[in-house]
Amino acid sequence: MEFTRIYSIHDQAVTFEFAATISEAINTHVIALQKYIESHPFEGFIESVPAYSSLTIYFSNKIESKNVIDIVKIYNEQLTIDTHQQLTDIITIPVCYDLGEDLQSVSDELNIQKEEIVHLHSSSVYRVYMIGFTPGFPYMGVLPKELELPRKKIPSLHIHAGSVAIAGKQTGIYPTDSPGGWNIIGKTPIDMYNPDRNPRYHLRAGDRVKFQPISTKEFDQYK
Amino acid sequence: MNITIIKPGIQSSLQDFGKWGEQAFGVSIGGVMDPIAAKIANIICKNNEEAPVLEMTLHGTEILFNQDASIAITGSGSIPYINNIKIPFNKLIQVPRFSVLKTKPSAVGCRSYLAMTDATSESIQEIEISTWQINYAENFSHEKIIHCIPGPEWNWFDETSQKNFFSHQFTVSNQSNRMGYRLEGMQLKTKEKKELLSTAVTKGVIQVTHEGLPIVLMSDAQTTGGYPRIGRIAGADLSTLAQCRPSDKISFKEISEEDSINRWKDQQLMLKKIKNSIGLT
Repeated sequence: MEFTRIYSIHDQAVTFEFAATISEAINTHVIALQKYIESHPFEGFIESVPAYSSLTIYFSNKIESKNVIDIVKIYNEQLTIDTHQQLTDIITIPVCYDLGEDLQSVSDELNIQKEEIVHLHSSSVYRVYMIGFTPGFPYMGVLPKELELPRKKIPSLHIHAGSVAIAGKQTGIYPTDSPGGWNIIGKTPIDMYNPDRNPRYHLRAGDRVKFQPISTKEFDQYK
Repeated sequence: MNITIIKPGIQSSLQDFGKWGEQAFGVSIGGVMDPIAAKIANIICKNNEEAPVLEMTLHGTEILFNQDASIAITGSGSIPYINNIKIPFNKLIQVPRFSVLKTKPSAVGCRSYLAMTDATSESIQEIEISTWQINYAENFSHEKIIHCIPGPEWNWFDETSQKNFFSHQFTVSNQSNRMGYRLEGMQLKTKEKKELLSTAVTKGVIQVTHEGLPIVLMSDAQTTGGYPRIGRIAGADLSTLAQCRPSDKISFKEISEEDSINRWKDQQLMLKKIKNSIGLT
């Protein structure tokens, strides 16, 4: 896969961008390139940040950006992946949809029964395209077309940790209490981020996720 | 650092120089806003250059020293007093146990840094860095020039906006914080309504919101963003911007990628000279 743009976002960070679109094939390539670089780190490499269709490389002053570009271009050429073999295990995340504070308004707005929203949301397998916004927040997609709706006009100032939300073609989980504009349709008892757990982050870019509906009683049993 | 914070003032926090390695999980780098001032504070105390320091935003901080210490305060944005006696910036000061540091309002600047050391045995040695040595600080005024490289979405903006960006002053909004500096001024417009797919951002990147106003990302910046990026400021100028307070004026001056790196190298050389001047290598 060819880069469509390469540019610096910092004296010591270069972004390598593929066609700017939400695509499983492109994101799979991004993650494969990230893994390849991490397993073949070059002098001065610090870390890499994958996004939907781009990979950003942070490096120290031991290396110049033009050399980083040369190395990553070579790595990208060396990368041969069969996307079908890249599929990871499916991670099941329990969700209590009865605790989704916006479920009713989402149902009204989409004109779809609540039960059908739960069914649609929990029937698909989603890909974690990237982590961002707050520590551990997974951007997942692609949402069934029937569930697409815009962000809330007025963002909520306080969304509880564990809230499962939808916006546009995406679904996500708020790892910590924070403000946010996505529509909350459920709540998971699983910590997306837990500093005392190894690994501390429940999900990473490239993971595949399926939601499992649970009752309020089952939700409480997790606590 | 055995101190008691009596009052945090407007904002005080213990800061390091940033942590890398978890940006892929959405964890920002963080760290001091003005790394140059913070490093100079450590150098004066003969600490490791990147030892943690106390970052004090503007004034109102009150600190009790629980032990004898030698301290240095650098940066700007307040007037420091020890036991009600005004003390100079950029100088090693002996502070007896139970002394109290208070920072009072000053006219310019935004962030001061406190570094300290227990090593009082060196108390005889006079260490003072004159401001001419700190050439980045020569412009502690209300109007600053920030060097800027056109960003990845520079071409998204219309010609008028591109021209205005480098020819008009912007004002630092009081909505600015450690995450980002919001600027007010000429509205910057894109040629067409286009959405940017979320991608990595970091400190120094200038995003333009849907209202057409720029935000310069700072130390606690989020790791990804979806606003078009009209530019990024030279790494060496982050310190200068961090010393701007709300209502200060900023003009962006175009610079090449190469010159941005040269400015950074000059800054490192300046730090080295300061170190050498007090007998550190």
